[in-house]
Amino acid sequence: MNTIRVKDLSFSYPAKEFENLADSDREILHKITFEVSRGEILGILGPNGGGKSTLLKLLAGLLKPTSGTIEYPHTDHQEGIIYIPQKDLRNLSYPITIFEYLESSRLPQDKVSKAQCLEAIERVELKRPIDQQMSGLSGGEYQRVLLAKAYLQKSKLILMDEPTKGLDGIGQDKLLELLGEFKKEAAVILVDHNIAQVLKHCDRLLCLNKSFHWHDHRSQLNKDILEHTYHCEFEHLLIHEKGGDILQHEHHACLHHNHEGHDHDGHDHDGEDTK
Amino acid sequence: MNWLTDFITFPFLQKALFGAIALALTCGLLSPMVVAKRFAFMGSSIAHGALLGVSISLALVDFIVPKGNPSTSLLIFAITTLVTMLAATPLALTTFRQKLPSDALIGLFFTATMGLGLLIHQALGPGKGDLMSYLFGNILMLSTLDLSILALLSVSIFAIVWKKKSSWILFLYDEEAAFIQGLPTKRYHVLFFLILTLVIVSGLKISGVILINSFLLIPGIFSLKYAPSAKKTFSYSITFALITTLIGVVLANGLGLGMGPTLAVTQVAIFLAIYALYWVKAKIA
Repeated sequence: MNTIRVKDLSFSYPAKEFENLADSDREILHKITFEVSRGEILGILGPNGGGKSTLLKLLAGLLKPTSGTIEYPHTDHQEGIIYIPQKDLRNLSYPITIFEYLESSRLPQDKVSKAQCLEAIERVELKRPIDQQMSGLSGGEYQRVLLAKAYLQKSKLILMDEPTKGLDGIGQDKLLELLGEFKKEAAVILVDHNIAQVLKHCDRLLCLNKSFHWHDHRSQLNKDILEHTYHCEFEHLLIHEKGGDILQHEHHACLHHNHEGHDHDGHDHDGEDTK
Repeated sequence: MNWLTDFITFPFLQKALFGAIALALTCGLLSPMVVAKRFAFMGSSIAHGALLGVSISLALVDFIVPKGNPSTSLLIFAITTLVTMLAATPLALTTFRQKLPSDALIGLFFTATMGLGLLIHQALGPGKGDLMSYLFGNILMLSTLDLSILALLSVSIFAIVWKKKSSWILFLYDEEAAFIQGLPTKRYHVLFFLILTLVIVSGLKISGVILINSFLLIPGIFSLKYAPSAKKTFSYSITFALITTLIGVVLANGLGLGMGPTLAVTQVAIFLAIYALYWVKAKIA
């Protein structure tokens, strides 16, 4: 059964708040359609400003779509969703402990016992005492705490925005293998710029660049789709990607200096909360 | 004058002591929340904005009840609370996950309400009450009614916060996660503003508009720095607020100083002393 079904989803910044932007620049996503089921990892690829982070925020309920529908067949509302944002939003001055954070996983319904929290951190292989403050955790350990929270919440949908950012190769592999475990009970959607990792660990792909989107099994991906998604950024990706021979792409002349609102120097136009 | 027996001999000092303790308890509870949520400037702004409510209530009170009526104090409190809450609610709504920086909105609120309050007092209120006593506080003038209001507020606010302690902690730490989880974060945000307004208005007579900020900030700064967990920030902050308040009240009486300023300076001095002790301890270790 589908865990999440997205149909004709569009999102634009409100005209009254962004008067200085042209209509085409305010529209971040245009009629995106895809489905993800429990047991699958969907990897979202695309250039900066293509709408990846905005899409995750829409799925998490942090933004409201301009049009289109998002159906969560397994959950009534947003409960059962865990969202791990791109930016580390921890309030580092607040001395909350791992236990206190995990204890609140099922609020507003009920609290979680200490034994269940211990089981959860063991499940995500977090080797830290449960009474340690969250502020002392590294970025990777913080992500594991959030996955422990997903485990305690019995989350049906896990949304991760660039989870491998800041992790070394081994850390990336371990995290993505862990996600492989979690997908047995949930659908996982992740945004990542590391195409090699996405191709290795994700079952399905969504290539996204505002109005353009392509969604299918990873085996169907080819260089034309990536070129169509990334345009001029594709060659830069190949240069920076480890083993720059992904899909045996040949260097091409860049003709897309101002494609659809994303600029060549990599400035991110992804959405901010307007809720 | 005896530093300690005065509190047994003089009823007005007993009232001052009980009032200060009630405010210390309530502010001690809220202070870690104010600091964790980065609402330090917000508390100060609402405190100054409360002058609008005080000015309006001072201007109106003589028309509603005869001079010297015992319910005057209650009426001033009620009108001030109502006006300040009405003014603070739009601020609460506009600062909830908005693009415009909160500090700009708070500054706007602060300037508008305080300026308007002073203008209203100049136009309608001269000779109708001492606005300065609300700026700097006059704890020695507390009535039994004032104490009853303070005690009732303390109990109510403790009940509201304590009952949902874990939810408040999640709200303070990660509002976005709390929202996704299904917590009504907007309701928490507005409720927190309203609680803050109530405490500030009820504390006006004790520490005044200017000094209530020390009650709302210093215990919280202390607790966030030294408490080992989020739950313990409450007990650390309340303990700090109570101890410093007791010392401040005794010092003010013994040295014949103003109660409000002495309380604020005592809190800062004790915080700095503890900070220095920890610093020395860390250097030795």
